[in-house]
Amino acid sequence: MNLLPTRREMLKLSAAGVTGAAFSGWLNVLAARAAETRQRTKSVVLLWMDGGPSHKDTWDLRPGTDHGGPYREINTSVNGIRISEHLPKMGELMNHGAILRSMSTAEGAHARAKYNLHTGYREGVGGLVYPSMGAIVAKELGSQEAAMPNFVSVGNRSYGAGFLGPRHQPLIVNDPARGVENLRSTLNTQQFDNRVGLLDELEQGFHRTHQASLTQAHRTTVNRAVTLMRDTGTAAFDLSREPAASRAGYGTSKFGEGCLLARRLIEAGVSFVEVTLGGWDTHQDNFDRVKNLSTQVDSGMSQLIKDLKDRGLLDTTLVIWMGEFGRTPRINARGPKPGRDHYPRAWSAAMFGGGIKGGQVIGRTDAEAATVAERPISTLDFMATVCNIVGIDHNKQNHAPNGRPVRIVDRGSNPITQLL
Amino acid sequence: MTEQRIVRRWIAQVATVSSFAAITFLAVGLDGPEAQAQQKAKAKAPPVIVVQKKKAANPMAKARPIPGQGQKLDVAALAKLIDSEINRQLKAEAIPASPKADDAEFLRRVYLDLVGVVPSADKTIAFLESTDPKKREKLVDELLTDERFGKAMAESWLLCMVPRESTNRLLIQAPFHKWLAEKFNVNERLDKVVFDLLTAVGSQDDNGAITYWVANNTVDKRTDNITRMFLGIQLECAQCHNHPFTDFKQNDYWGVAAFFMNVRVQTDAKQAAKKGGPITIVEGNAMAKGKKAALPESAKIVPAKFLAGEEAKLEKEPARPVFAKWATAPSNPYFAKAMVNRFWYHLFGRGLVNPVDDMHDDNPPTHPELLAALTEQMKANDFDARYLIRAIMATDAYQRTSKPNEKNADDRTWYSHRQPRMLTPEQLHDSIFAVVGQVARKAPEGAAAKKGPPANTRDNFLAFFRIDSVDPLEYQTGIPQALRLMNSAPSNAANRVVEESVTAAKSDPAKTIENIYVRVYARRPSADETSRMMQYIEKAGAQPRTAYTDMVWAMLNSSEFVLNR
Repeated sequence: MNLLPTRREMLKLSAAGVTGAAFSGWLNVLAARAAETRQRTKSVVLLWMDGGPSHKDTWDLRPGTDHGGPYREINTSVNGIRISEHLPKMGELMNHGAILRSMSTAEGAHARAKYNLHTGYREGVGGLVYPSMGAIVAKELGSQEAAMPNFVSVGNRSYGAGFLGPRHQPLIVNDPARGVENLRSTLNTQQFDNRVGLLDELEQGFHRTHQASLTQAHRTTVNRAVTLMRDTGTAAFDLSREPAASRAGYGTSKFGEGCLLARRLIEAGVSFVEVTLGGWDTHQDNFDRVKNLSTQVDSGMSQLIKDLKDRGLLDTTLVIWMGEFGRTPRINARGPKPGRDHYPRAWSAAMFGGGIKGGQVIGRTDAEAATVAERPISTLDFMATVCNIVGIDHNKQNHAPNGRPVRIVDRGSNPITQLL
Repeated sequence: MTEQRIVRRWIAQVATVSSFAAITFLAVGLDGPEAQAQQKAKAKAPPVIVVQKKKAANPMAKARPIPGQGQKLDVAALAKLIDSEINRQLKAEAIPASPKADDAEFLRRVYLDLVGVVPSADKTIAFLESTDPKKREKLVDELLTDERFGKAMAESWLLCMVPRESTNRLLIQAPFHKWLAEKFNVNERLDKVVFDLLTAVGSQDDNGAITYWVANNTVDKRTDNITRMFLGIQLECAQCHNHPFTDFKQNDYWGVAAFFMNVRVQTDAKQAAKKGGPITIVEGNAMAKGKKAALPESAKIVPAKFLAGEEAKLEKEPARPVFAKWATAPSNPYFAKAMVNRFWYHLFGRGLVNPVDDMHDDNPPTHPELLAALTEQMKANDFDARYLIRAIMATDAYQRTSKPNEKNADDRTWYSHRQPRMLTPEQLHDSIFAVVGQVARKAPEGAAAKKGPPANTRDNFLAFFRIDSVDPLEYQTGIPQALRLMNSAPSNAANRVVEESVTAAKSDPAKTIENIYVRVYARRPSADETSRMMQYIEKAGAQPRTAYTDMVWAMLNSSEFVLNR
């Protein structure tokens, strides 16, 4: 039997002032970690490649062909799977992951495609704002009592809870090095507590006469924000607490810091962390830019996977690499440093960990990586697959504010079965 | 079986409050998971749906003649008509109404609804102390001629007319806002405003209205927005297939879209931001000359046709004026109704039809005769927006307190008491700044906005608090917003409020507390509130100012402040 208190118990104890200073900081995180590994539901890290990464220059190369580009292919830890030379560390981890080479989706403009790939629905249909994957996972798998948020988005406003409401909105961290904004009061604890007490009195008085559901919702949200401010678990947001040695592997980029923050948050029990790496909209200068971006991915993502593995968290944490679409198999003629344009018809995504069978390639594109030759994966297929991996029933219906039932994933999905 | 499939398809496609209710009605008697899901949905649905369902199942069972038909009613007569219709329905539902709001509650509400900000302390005191029996209607008149009225109104319309899409990030909206604000401020006839908007040509510098056509830069976006905004119809479902709930077919959609095919943006916002130069809208025969407008895959090329009407006879003339003339004519069955519903929505937080822009037979109004009467009077009174606003604001229905009584607390449909709603991000920002006495900074537009609005600007605040929401009566604020309100300026910049309140009170604590209440809540405190706050101040001992700033902070973060009630 494990004598360490669970994270939940820890919270109760520290809220009651029982644990005091001795359990603050890293010790609390340690306890939380020990508790979490025993009874984990799954969590997700979504590495969002904003702008639409070129599949033909990352996971599905055609070296030596007309529009194949200058990159070479390298072997990976899995026999027969070859990827870009600029993702060598990811190649070493290939046995833990799968490449989805036959993504085929319907939206070719950034905003609509991002919406579609985040929510599974098409923007504007049905007069609803649909929840993103993060909000769905937060709602279905996250703890509803925890002070820590269940959905954190790093480096991006992201797509929110839609009709699921404020309870499942992402907590946004613009800069991983700065953590959650406005999390600390500028006042001393005593004065802040006085104010919160006074605020609560005002709220009680108002609620007695008004009873409106809005006043209740406002009170709840303010109380949750205050609880979060007082929660020692928020130390997970503070990257300066990470030893220099374990930071190094992530590289010095913002994206690398985002991956490190994602690891700390997953350890602290957050269900869904999205980390954005922008700059993939390479209409021009594709090859210099993709090389640079790939290098950032290679450090940050590989270190994240290794760290999760070392901590026994990889089997319960699904790491997804994807953008809103791929890029044209043909190189365009835009100036001396050409690029590739938007291309939703055939592209690649990748998944690691989360208990999937690694070392696989799902689907196949044709000789030019231009059309799907085998096993097309639609947005619905993809969303349903993610749900299956993390243990969410994708046919479950949530209710929009107007009472209308809405499936987590719309009808017509054909999830990939060979990953589990 | 077939029924089940239809039900399923309907649910999968567009569903609205009452169309869903209609489905529920259909599904009664079906077995299996479908029906169970319906039951479950019914169980979870808020009370408003149950009420709506009754309407949908029994549409206009006893249709009455339209009140006031054939007459031209003045403001007072229209207000009376509204109350009589609202009260008739309350009586039918056996729901007792709450009494009128007191002066302070009314004052703050009218300020927020008309000029988008809370009243100043001076205005509050003057209004509370005035003994003029007509002070409420005089207040409405005064604010309708305040230039902040046009600005606030234009800002809220722009939010519906300029899609928040990545393509519009660099778009300069200021000329559009200025154009529309002026129209509201000179009280131009609404049919004229919309006609000018729908036919706008020229450069953005000369005609701010062309911004609408730049912001909606494709034929389908134009069709969607124009039909939603000015006809009160969500036609977009018919873009790719025949509309599931209405009689609109795909050809109806593309028949309307055909009017907008030949509108071209000469320099788009992105290029203009990069290279400078004016953005210009022209209408011509561009389609003929190879340079096709970007059409979605579902596009059908059909002759221009009025919605649910005839084909337009377009010779060589530009197509938009023909459409605009049809759309804004008194004989048009959609326009006046859509305008009435939109203003009603603006003042009550919900339309007589909900969603505000989704009018069709299976989504009937809560008060059908009232909507019909308002539509008639709108036409008879020259599409005068101020006329409509004055009449609504003069009603008991609008002036009721937001405090429910024992029997009407659950009512969200029949106007038995005022439904509180969240301040919009604009109202919240401007009100906090007004209270603490700071002037907001404005972010640059266009190319300079590339990296998003800088911190400490109004635009940054708005972007942070903006959450796409279908219903203003729903709470949509999250933890990040709560944290920002609590822990950043300006909610912590209470020094000026406190200093001025203390000085004006000559350091008398009770008077200081009253001054703070008036300034932040726009009302005087009750005796209980004063004595409770006195205790709090006394406890602080030698540092009363610190305690006063605590008070201001708590008030700015409270429900009473963040709600329009």
